Amino acid sequence: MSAVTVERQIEQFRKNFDIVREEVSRIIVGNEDNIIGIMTCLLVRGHVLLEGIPGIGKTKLVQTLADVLHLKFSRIQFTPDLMPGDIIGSTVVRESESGRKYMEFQRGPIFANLVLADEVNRATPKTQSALLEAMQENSVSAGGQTHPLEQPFFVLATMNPLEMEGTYPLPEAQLDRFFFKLKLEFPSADGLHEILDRTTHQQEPHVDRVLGQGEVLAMRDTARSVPVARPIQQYAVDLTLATHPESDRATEMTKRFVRFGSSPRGTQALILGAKVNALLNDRVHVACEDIRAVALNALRHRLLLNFDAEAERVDTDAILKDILHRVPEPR
Amino acid sequence: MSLSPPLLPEREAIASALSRIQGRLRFNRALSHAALIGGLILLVLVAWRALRWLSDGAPAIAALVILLAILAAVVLIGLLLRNLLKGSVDRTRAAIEADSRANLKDELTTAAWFLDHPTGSDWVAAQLARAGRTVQGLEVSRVAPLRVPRTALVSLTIGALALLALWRMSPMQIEVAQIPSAAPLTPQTAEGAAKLRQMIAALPDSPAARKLEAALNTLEGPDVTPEARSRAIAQAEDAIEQIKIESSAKREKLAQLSEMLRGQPGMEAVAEALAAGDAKRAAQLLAQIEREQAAKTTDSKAPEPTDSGASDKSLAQTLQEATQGSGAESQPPSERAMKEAVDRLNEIARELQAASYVNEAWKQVKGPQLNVDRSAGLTAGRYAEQTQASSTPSPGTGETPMGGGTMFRSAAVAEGKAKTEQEGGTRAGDALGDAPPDPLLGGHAERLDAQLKRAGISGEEQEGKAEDKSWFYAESQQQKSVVSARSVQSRGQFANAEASSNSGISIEHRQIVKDYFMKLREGAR
Repeated sequence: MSAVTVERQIEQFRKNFDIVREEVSRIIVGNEDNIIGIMTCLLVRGHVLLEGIPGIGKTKLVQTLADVLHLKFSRIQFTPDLMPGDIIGSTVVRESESGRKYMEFQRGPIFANLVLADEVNRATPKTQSALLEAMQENSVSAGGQTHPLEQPFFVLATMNPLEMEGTYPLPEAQLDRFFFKLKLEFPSADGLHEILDRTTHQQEPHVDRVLGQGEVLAMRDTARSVPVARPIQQYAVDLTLATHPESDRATEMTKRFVRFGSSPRGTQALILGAKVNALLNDRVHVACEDIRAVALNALRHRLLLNFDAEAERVDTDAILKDILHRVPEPR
Repeated sequence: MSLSPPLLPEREAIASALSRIQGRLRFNRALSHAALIGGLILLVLVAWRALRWLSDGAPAIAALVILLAILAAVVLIGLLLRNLLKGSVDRTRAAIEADSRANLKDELTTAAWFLDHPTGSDWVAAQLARAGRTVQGLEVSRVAPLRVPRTALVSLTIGALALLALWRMSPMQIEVAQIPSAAPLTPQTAEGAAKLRQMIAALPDSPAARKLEAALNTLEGPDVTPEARSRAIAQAEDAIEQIKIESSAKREKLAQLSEMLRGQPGMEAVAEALAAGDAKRAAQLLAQIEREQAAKTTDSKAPEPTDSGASDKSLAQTLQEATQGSGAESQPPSERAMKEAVDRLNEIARELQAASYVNEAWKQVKGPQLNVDRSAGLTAGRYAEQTQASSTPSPGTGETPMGGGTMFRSAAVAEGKAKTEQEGGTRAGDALGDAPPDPLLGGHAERLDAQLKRAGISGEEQEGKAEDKSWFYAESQQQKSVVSARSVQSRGQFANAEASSNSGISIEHRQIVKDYFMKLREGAR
C-alpha cells in the first residue's frame, strides 16, 4: 500500500461518512455534531451514551442510523423488572424431530449490530452489568458457552436526566465504558419548524440504506490508521492529567471541584476520536485541534465531581472547558 | 484529489525548510537577546544622563528616576532570563513555530516527529508527502522573518531618542523655591538691638551673654529666614532668662550680706541698702565710711596686709575684712579691703544695671519683631509654645491651670434642678464633674443634714432639741453605711490597681510569690 492508496482510503472514508450524515439528516433535524459523534463511536469500536430529555429524538436518531447503515438493529427498553436473560438470551429445552431433547441458546436482543438500550438507568444494576459486560467483551457467556457478538457491535444507551426517582444511575466504572457521552439539546425554533414540516404531513421522509457492514468495518480500519506524533499525543496526556486533582498539571478548578479524574480510557477516546476528526478534516495526521474537538464528549462522563461542585452547580463541561483553555498546546 | 509529484523528495524538503526556519528563529532570538541587553545599557545611560540633567535641584525626581530605572532593569533582566531559559531551538520547536505562524494544524510538527522517528507506515509516508508539498509552498521568510521584536524596537527607539535629547540638553536649571526672607528690622528694633549690644558689652563675660550676642547677630543678619529669626528670638529669650537668674542670684547674695552686716555698728545703712538690693548706694556708703576711717587713721597708720589672694576672696570675706578688720579686735578695718569691697559692690551694681537695661532693650527689640514673626505664621519650637498658650485662664471662666492639667470647677458647683449623672458627680466634688454617680445613692446627693447628725456630749441625739447643750456633728447611720460600702468597694479597686502596677502582683498574692522566690534562692544555694 502506498501513499496514494492511503489518500484514496481517506477520500473514501470521508465520502462514506458524508453520505451517512446527509442521509441521517433527512430524518433528524439539527444535531449535526451528535450525528458525527455517534458515527465516530461506531468507527472506533466504541459505544455511546445519549443524554436528553424525552421526545427529543434520541431513539429516532438511532433507528435512522440503523436504517442508513443496513445493520441489524434491536431496541431494548430498560425497565426495573428487566432481567439479564431478557437482554443476552437464555438456554431453552428443545425437542428434535426424533424426539430427542436438547438445550439450545435462544439469543437475546443484544445479538445485533446496533443495539439501542433505551433509558438504561431504569434497569437494575444486575441487568445494566450484563449489558456493560457485553459491551466490553464483545461476547456473551450463557450456559457455559461464550457467544461472540457480530461486528460491528455498537450500543447506544439513552438516559433521561429528568424523572430520576426510581432509577439506578450508572456507576462511574460503568460510565467509563462508554466512548462518548453526547448531550442532545432541545432544538431551536427553526429546528422545531423543520421537525413539524417533516413529520406532520401525509408522507414522512424515508432513508435509504447507503452503507453496508463491510464498508463500516473498512472505515473502522481506516480510522485507526491515522498516525499521531508524540508532541500531539502529549497534549492528550496533558489534558487527561489536568483532570486529576492530585496531578501537578491540574488546574485550580480541577483541584477545587474534581474528586477523580479521567481514566486512561479517556485518553484513548481522545486520540481515537481525534483520528476520526482528522480524517473528516482531510488530514493524515492528528492535530491538537482534533483532540480539542472531541475532548468534551470523550471526558465529560469520566470526571467524578465532589460535593463543592454539586453545591456550586459546576458541571464537568465547565471544568473541561477551563482545562482546554488553560492547558497549553505543545510549544 | 490530484497528487502532483514533489519537486524534491519530501523528507529532504521538510528537513531543509525546517532547518532554515530553525536558523531564522535562532537569529531572531539572538536579536531579541541583543535588544534586551541594548535596552539595559540604554536604560543605564538614560538614567545616568537624566540624573545629571536634574543635577542637585530636584532630589525627589532624581529618586523617582532611580526607582523607575531599577524597575525597568528588573523587567528587562527577567525577560532576558526567560528567553535564555526557553531552551535551544531544535527542529521540533521550529516545526511547532512554523505550524503556529502558518496555521498548518500541526502538520510540520507531526512531520518533524516522524522524520526524527522514522516508521515504515504508509500512513506516515502519506503524511510526510503531504507535509513535503506544504513545505514547498511555504515561504520561509514570511513564516520566520528576521526581525527584532516590535516592542523591543519601539523601546530602543524611544530610549535612544530620550538619550539623545538628554545628551544635548544642558543641566536643568531648577528654580528652587526661595524661602522668603523675614521682614527687615524696623528702625525701632534696630535701635533696640544697638542698645542691647552695648549692654551686652557691659555684662561680664558669661555663656548667657555670648548666647545673647549670637542671637542678636542672627537677628541683625541679612537674608535671615523667618524660621531662623524665630529660633534666634527663642535663643535670645533663653539667654535673657539666664541673665535674669544670674541677677536674682546676685541680689540674693546682697541680701545675705545685709544680714551679715546688720549687727555691726556703723554698718546699718549699708545693710539696709544691701537688703534693698541697691549695691550702688551700699558702695557709696561704704566708701564714705572708708574715708572717715582713713581720716582717723592718718596718724597711726597700720601696715597694710599683703595683697596675696585678694582677688580670690569672695565679696562676703572682703566685706567682713573691711568692716571687722583681719579678725583681731585691736586691729582696725583694712583700708585696702574696704576699697576692694567698694569696687566689688560698684561692679555688681553695674552688672545689675546692665542686666536691667538688657531686659529693657530686649523688650524693645522683641516687641515689634514678635508681630513680624507672627505674621509669618511660624509655629515651631519654643516660640510656638509660648504664643499658643491658653488665652485667659482664670477661675472666673472655669479654667484653672494646674500642674498636669486644667480643672473646671465653676460649672461643677453650679446650681441645677435636673438630677443628672453629671450633676451628681459634680456635687460629690469631682474635678471634671462627669464622674460616675455614687453606687448607693445614684445621681442623687444627700443633703448635709442627712449625712451628719448632731450628737450631744453625752452621746444622745440632740436633733431639734435644746440649743444650750454641748453637741457636735457625727456621721449619721446612713453615712456610715455609705462609707463602709465605699471602703469595701475600694479594697477590690485597690487590689486591682496594685495588680496592674509595675510589679503586676496583687497584694494577696505578693507574699506567696515572695516565699516562692526566697525558696528558689535558698535551693540554689
